[in-house]
Amino acid sequence: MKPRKVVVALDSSTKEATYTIDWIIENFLNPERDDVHLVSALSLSSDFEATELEMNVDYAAEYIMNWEKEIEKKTQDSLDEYLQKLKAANIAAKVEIIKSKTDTRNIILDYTQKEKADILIMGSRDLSTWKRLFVGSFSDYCQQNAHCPVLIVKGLQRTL
Amino acid sequence: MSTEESNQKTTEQKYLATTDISENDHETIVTTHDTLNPITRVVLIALDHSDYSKNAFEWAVKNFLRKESDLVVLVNVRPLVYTGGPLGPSALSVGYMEISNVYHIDEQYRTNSYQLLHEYGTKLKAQDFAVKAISMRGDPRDEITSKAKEVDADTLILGSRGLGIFKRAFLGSTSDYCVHNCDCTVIIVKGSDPHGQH
Repeated sequence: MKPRKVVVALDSSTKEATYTIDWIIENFLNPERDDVHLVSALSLSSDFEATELEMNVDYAAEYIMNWEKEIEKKTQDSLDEYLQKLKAANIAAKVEIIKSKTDTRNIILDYTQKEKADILIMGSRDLSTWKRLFVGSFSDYCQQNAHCPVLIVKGLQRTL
Repeated sequence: MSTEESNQKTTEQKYLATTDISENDHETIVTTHDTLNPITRVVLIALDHSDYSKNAFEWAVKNFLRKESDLVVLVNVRPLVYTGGPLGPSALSVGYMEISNVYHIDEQYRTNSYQLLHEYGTKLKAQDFAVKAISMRGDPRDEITSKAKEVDADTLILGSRGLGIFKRAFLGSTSDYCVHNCDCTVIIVKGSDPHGQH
């Protein structure tokens, strides 16, 4: 059987992420073929400058550093939870947290291309039409620009 | 002329599960195959005559479909035939010849659709999948989405033409529309693999 490299892009620790992992274990993943990369992209320090915090500059830098560490830890923990699920299903998997100062959308696609993934899997946030117009949809962007098949897990609404 | 017509009738009948259809049917079941397996998943694959569909189909067979549990619903949406130009039928073009032309083209689309579905359906039948192949007519985006809802599809699989930003905005992308408007998981299979695998 041909081996497959599966990249799963997740927003850590949301209901969608859990549903996505459960769904792909039941419907898609094959323990004999698949090597799963659980990826979460952290786009850091792009939102504000230290001066906006109105703190002493040195303290602000430290504060931001701690804050980033905290986010990274939280992400790591929730991804570990999914890692355990995959291990329990006998599927080879590893966690990859990518930190970047640039746009999150490209991070995942660049990773997927670099790893020569056979498929990119993600959930889809249930944005309303208006929100989607302004915020833009991450899954749309990936689906349009990826070079491999894209699987978008939906259906959480039906199970609720 | 009449030999052609009767040939065409035989061709159509060859592909149909039933010969009892009216000419302007919105949808027709072209082929079905049942198995004894209990169906726990419904997978809808939307097809057209392009290579993108061929890719999507082959990907599905190699990577997703499970014959023990799946009902594979194949759908091809053929376009409506439009008369007249962008402004609609002109007063000059309405007449007997025009109408019979439309009918002829519609028949052609229909036969092509049946042939396509028969081809793909046969491939699945040969591997003992439970199959249902349906030919539909209209706007692919609406038809695929509503059919997915109707058969309660768990997953929808589509090819993608990979339209650029502008074409996507003007022509509208079927795959985009389906991702937004279907409740189920959607798999978009892009063109041939650039890494040279598969």
